[in-house]
Amino acid sequence: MVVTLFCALGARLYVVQVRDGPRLAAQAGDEQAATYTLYPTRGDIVDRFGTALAVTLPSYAIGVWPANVRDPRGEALRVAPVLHLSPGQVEQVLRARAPFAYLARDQNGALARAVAALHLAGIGVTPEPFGRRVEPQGTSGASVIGFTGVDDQGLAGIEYEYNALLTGHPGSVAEETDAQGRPIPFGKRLVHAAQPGQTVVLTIDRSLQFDADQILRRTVERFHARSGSLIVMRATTGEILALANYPGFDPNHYDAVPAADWRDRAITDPYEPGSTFKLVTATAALDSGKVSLDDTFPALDTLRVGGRVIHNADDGLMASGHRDETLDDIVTYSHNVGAAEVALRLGKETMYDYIRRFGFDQPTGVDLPGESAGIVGTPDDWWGSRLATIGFGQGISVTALALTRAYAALANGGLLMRPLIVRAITAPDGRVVRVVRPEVVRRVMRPQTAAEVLKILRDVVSRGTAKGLVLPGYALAGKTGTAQMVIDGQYVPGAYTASFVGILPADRPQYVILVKVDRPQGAYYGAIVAAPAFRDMAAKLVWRESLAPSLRAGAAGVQARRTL
Amino acid sequence: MSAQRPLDAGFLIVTLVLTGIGIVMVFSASSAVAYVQFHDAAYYLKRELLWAGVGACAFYAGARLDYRRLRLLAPWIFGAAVVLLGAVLVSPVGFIEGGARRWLALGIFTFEPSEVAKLALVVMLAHLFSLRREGARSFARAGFPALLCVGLCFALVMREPDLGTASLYLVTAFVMLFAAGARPSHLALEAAVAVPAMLEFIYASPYRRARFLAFLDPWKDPQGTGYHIIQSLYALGSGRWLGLGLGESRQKFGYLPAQHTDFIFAIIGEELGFIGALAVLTLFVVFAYRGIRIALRAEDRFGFHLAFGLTVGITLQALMNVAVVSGSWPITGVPLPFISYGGTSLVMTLFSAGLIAGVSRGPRRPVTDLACVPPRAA
Repeated sequence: MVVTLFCALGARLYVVQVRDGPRLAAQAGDEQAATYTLYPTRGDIVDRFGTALAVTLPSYAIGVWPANVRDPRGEALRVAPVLHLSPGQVEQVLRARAPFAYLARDQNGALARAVAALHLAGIGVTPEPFGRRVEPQGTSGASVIGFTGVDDQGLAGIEYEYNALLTGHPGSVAEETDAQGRPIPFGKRLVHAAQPGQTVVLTIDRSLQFDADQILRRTVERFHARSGSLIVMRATTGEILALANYPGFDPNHYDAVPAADWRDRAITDPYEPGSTFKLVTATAALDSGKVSLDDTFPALDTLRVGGRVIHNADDGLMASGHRDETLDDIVTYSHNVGAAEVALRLGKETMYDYIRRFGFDQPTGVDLPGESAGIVGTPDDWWGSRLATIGFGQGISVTALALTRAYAALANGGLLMRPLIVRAITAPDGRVVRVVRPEVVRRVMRPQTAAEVLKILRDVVSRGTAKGLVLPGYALAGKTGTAQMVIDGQYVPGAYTASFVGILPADRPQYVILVKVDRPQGAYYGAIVAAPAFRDMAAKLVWRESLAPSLRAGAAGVQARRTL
Repeated sequence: MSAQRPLDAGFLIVTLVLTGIGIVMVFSASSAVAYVQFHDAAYYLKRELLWAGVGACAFYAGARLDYRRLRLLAPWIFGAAVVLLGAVLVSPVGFIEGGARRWLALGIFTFEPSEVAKLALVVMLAHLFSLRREGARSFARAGFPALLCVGLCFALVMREPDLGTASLYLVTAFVMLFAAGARPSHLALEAAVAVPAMLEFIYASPYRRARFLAFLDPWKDPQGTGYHIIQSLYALGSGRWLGLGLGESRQKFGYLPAQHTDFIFAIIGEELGFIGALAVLTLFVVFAYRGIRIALRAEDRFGFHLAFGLTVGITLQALMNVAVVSGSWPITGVPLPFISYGGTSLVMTLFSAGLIAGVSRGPRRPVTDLACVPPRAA
């Protein structure tokens, strides 16, 4: 009988172990394996020379296993000063009735090492999965860099636009664990390493960016303005070397300011450019062949168009004493009436054609999120006086970046470039994954036209609205702008946008600098508010880039040549 | 002295092998849990070795003892065991673990009286059955007292509650009665009283009932009543033919409860495979064969009943344990003799084995059948 029972058990064992063995073993394997995610380290954002703009540092959580705490009061007294917490708070956590509790999260390595050095059995240091995102430049360049949220996902700027590249690919670990999920000794362990994110190399020059932020801030504060933008672009390539907005934010504490200040105003907010838009009028006039440099227009102080009277700006540079004026005079002295006359002579189709050639009807295609196109309309909407006002940059809105690019097209001889903010993508090991090459969108104008318009813009500085703008040794060209601001569809009295877009050096153009200041108090002319900021930025640029002086730059140039 | 036969070598060897396997497997099965609990992987091994040492002395003592002297002591031993069983239930040193009062806390170690009672019961029954030539045929002289003894132990152990051990008492006594020539009607009476009592106990609480019947379909409640059996089947199934290898068990890492005590056979199956499990099973068959052979060759009736009862008790316990572990029987919580971790169990099992071995040697003096009848009973 005993033998029978043993045989029955033997058969039962055969069924469980051999017949059903594979199925049971597979189920057991599922239960014994634990899989968890390895989070990749987020890639860096660096400037054109590799200086860190946004990096991820290791970060640590300070955890407590209350069951292993032997002396809650004593250990609390030792840990609290390291963590800058009160001993009472710490002791409360050490006495928690839970298998695990956090004492502190997202702490830096020095603090974590200090805690580990205490060698307390119940208090441990664990790495945070994402680490801590740090923007060492603070507010400088913040609107380009953007920021990341709590789960390390990019929420603005390059962090958002290049989130996928920066994030990398998570890995995984599958390992055999005990019932509490701890890996078992000599157990199988299958690791797919996480692929760290790639590094985004920007076209930004950290030093120029810093200068731009400082100069813009000084300007906005001096004139008690609402806000401002400053862009430095390399004309030949379309690379953005600096892009500043003020007021801005510190990406390390982005929630300390209203969300409105997070946006990159220079690309998200179209504005009425005013006289700086006369670049388009002049280019259209000369390039279409409908106006030559010798053609003259009646020099009027007012013009009645479509039931509206257009005035020249009251800036002391009236065309008094002249009966006629050339295109050069109109731009140099920034005569709105003259610009309106030119626009009316060109007609809707030609003006619209050149507005489109300059790309104002489309976003520029820069690799930044939230870019807006200009508000251009179509010739069909241009009723009443609108064609005439577009001639001097009212009744049309463009972004600061689009306008900068238009000046760059003039400066480089007529080619519209795609603005570049990213220069290259590199792998974590330093290998260059992708190089972003300059990209010509189209030819806007003939080189001949570019040279002629550039000459006019040099006259603006030498004898026109920006007379007195001098950078010793360097020829400058540019255009002032003083536009009435449209707020909620209405021109607001006393609210102006003061701007200056300049080209440096004017004899062999390389850089375009745009300065725009919204609602300055007191003075509001572009020449007074924005042009000095342009000069300061140009001076920094000359110094940083070791720019050779111009050969013929008027009186100042002579002086410079002598010192050479 | 010279009249004694040599000790049954096969029986000794199988006992040693089983105990050796027990020591190795207790270490393998307990190391992970021991490390987590005590930061010492050998925590249970050290204690097992200590108890094996004590057990070896107990075996030696059992084998050296003139087993016939036990007859004189049988009522006293039995009485003491009953007192101990009662003490577990009522005294302040009764020790509760896992919802049952099974242990007596005696200073540094705990002590399980039901293990002692198992031996005492067999000794008592052997004594009763060898009082007369006709064994247990007389209900009034042998059958009824035997049933009283079993019933007392059964009732006390059921109060702990320890259904496994209690039922083991019943079945062992049943087999002993059968071997002692009890009438079928007596056996039927015993079954008629015991089985309803056990069923009543099980069905009294829905929890016990669910737990009792969980082995029929453990996957009905895999996180609750079925958990233990499923984990045991996972362990056995992972072993396949040859096992994962000694020390390679995964289920011992906190998945399988009682992995070094009542469910150590599952770890044996996982690490040593079907072949290893079958080998252990075969060792118990050999143990049963040698034990019964010793009983049949005993020179007196007491020797026969003693060796037979002890062999049957140990073998049935092994059967029941393996049946539980392989999911063929309700979970009843009996250790695997010689192998499961547990001091009282190991020492008492080795002492019992020693007594069986002692029977194989025969009594000290050549005796007539009469001489083994104690004076008072005669």
